[in-house]
Amino acid sequence: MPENQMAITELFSAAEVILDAAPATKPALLDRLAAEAATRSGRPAPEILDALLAREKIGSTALGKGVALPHTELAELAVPVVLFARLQRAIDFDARDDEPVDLVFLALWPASNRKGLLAAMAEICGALRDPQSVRRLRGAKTPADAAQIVLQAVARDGEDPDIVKDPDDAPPGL
Amino acid sequence: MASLRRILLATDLEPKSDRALERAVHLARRFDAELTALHVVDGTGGPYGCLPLHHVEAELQRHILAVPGGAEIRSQAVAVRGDAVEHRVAGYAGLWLPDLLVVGLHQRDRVADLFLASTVERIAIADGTPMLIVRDKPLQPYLRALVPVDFSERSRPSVDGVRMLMREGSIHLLHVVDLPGMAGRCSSPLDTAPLDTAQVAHDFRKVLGTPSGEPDQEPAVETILLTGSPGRRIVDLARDGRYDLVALGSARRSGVSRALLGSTASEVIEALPCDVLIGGTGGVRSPVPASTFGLNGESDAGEPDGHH
Repeated sequence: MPENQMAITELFSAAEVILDAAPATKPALLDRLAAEAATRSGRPAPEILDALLAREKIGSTALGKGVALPHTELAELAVPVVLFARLQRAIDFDARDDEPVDLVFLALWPASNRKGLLAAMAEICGALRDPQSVRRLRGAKTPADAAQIVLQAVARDGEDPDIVKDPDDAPPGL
Repeated sequence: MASLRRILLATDLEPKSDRALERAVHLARRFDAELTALHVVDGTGGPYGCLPLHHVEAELQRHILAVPGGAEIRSQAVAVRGDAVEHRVAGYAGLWLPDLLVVGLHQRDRVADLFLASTVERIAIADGTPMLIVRDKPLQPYLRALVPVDFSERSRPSVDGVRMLMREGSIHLLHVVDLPGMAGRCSSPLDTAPLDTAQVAHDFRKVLGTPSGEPDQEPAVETILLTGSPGRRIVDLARDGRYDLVALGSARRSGVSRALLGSTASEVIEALPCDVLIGGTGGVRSPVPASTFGLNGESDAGEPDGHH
């Protein structure tokens, strides 16, 4: 990874995990995530929410198979924010496969580090291609367990770059 | 004169390609053209190989919207998978038939390895669409263009291409004489006394043709005649003349372009200090079968004229 990019492993810990969140709708979920990100970043929650909604307006950030990756860049954001939320009940997220979403990663990136967001998204998507990781995330007992599952999956994916990846062809994890 | 209605931006999503995106948006606004941003995802597992294509397309669209004026143009984003960028770009161009292909040019460094001049050259050879290679930040419309010509029909696409991009400013047509018999007869690049200047003036008028636009929307045209090595003269003049655009002949043809775009095309493109327009094939385009582009499940776009 280039020196000017931050790996997920540097940003993610149990403190960034929200288990059994209970939003009933997609807007309510984004509102909750924006509030959580606001406390961690110091940016106003409405600013974060507006940016997330603008991105969803372009197209749903659902990845399929019950997972979503809402993301955006913020001009005044100092450091990236990555959160993971597991929902008590899956909700409609306008996914292409129509699957309701219960696992959500949030990625906020400083606009000044334009390449970082795409790299982070690729890192998360790569980690989630392991079906066991997705299954274990759904069964994680504690935030620490969930964080460890994510970090291990990221590490495994990074160690095996020769795996042929085709996320559009019904991969096992997503 | 060709009009600019469809612009295809081929981008590797690197920040260094932002200037090409900004220029493409500016041109789309100025000429009310439709813009398609195309990204070829490395099918062998490149940096964004894990991302679903619809996410890549959304990122492209988000980047378009982030450019001032980007929300005011007609645009679409297309992502396809493939391991040969030039074939995917040419394949899409063959189906969508843009009037202009826009690409960014990276300087050789350890980060950028996709849109180096060699890749740009391969795209130019694979596709006959006029190609704009963007190096500078687009602070204003093109106002000063240098167009080397060899007085053959091969020069017309370059002239037409520049006229397509400019409504004002000045176009300088340059002819460089490099005949072996001239060696020693012309004492300086400006010493053109041995030439038949009347014939040269006639040839300039012929290659220029008749402008079809409104007189007040046509850039002024001047002519320059030099002797010497064409490649060196063009690069030197581009550097000294503060041009913001240099138009070269088609990479698919020979003639004046051969000296520039033969085996050393990437070197010449890298040597020029400003944006470069590679003239198209003058409306001659090889049909591209849909299978070349890989429409069957390769792209979320579905149809090349689909909007997202």
